[in-house]
Parts: sequence; C-alpha cells; structure tokens
Amino acid sequence: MTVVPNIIANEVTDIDGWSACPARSGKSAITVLGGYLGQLMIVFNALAKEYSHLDKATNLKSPRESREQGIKKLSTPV
Amino acid sequence: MEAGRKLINATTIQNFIYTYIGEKLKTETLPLLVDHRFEDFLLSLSTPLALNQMRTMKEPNYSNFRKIISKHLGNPVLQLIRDNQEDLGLDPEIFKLVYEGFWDLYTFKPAINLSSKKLQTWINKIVLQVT
Repeated sequence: MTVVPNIIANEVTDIDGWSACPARSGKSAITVLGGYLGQLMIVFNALAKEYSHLDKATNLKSPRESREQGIKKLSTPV
Repeated sequence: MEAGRKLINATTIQNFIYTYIGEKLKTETLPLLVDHRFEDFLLSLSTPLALNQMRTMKEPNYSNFRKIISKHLGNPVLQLIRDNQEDLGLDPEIFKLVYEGFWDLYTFKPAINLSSKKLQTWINKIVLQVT
C-alpha cells in the first residue's frame, strides 16, 4: 500500500463534474466516485447481490395457462 | 409472458433514473461529464445541436451518436468501472443497463412509456460538461 503524505492538506479533486452545477460553481466539494451513474451502478449491484431473491427470474404464466395446467393435473389419473 | 429478472432490467432501472432525476433530485440540475467527441458530433450535424440540447435523431446519426457515447465516456472513473467490471465484482449486466439506460432516456429512446415532452423537461435538468 502506498501512503500519501499529508493527504488532508491536498486539494479536493472534482472528479465527476459537480462544479458544473451553477449553484456549486467555485466551491470545493467531495464528490462520489463515478458520479451519479457510478453510484447507481453500485447501488443496483448491491441489490442484485445482497437481495437476489428480489431479482429472481420468474416464469410468469398467463391466468389461462395456469388454469389449464391446474385442470390437467386434476384430470390425470393417480 | 417471458421469464426475466425482476429488478435488474431496463424498465426498472430507467424508471428509477427518470423518477430520481425528474422528481427526487435535491438540486435543481444534475451535472454529468461527457467526452469532447460528444459535443463535436452534435456540432457536426446538418442542423447542429449545442451541448445540453437534444432532439430525436434519425439513422444513421442516432447509431453513430450512440457509438460515440458507448466508446468515449466523459467520466474517467466510469471508464475504470467499465473496464474492470469483473474485478470489481459487478453484475455483468449492471453497467450497460445503467449507462446505456441513461442515454436511452436522454436520446428519446426509452424502454419505458414516456412522451417526448416529458423527456424534454427531464433532459433540461441535466447539465452536461465536456472533459
């Protein structure tokens, strides 16, 4: 690991264009990696990985298909 | 009906991007970086467009414009994310769905049902800046 001396004394680098916002013009800001889109990717990635049950593929059938399948099952001799 | 991912799909992601920027954003505008080739292309059109202006484009202009957007990212960190998706442990579909999904909305080709008028209002909230 490389230690950066006096990191706190360094200027904050605007990496995602936050200063383009007129209200922030000329002001320093600590911004987020990858800007809005980068953060969104990280959020959706966390959702996909940590809450995979919410993202599971579902084999959706139309109500008619489901009904027909149910009738077929019932009419199959045991 | 088709089987598919319930969360990580174009509809959900574009709907989130549209709603967040259009309605939930705490600042008036959202700044975003684009490559200089983005602006160069807009200016080279037979009816030129200035940066931060957009209209529906016809082929082959539309495809050429999207190629520039996909190839030349204005944000260096986004570029790093794109080039190192696997090492970063990113779901293989996320980058494309978020990045291209945003530009689908911006170029009037959304995966969700939105009028051009609504999209134009939405586009006006985004401030593009050339790197």
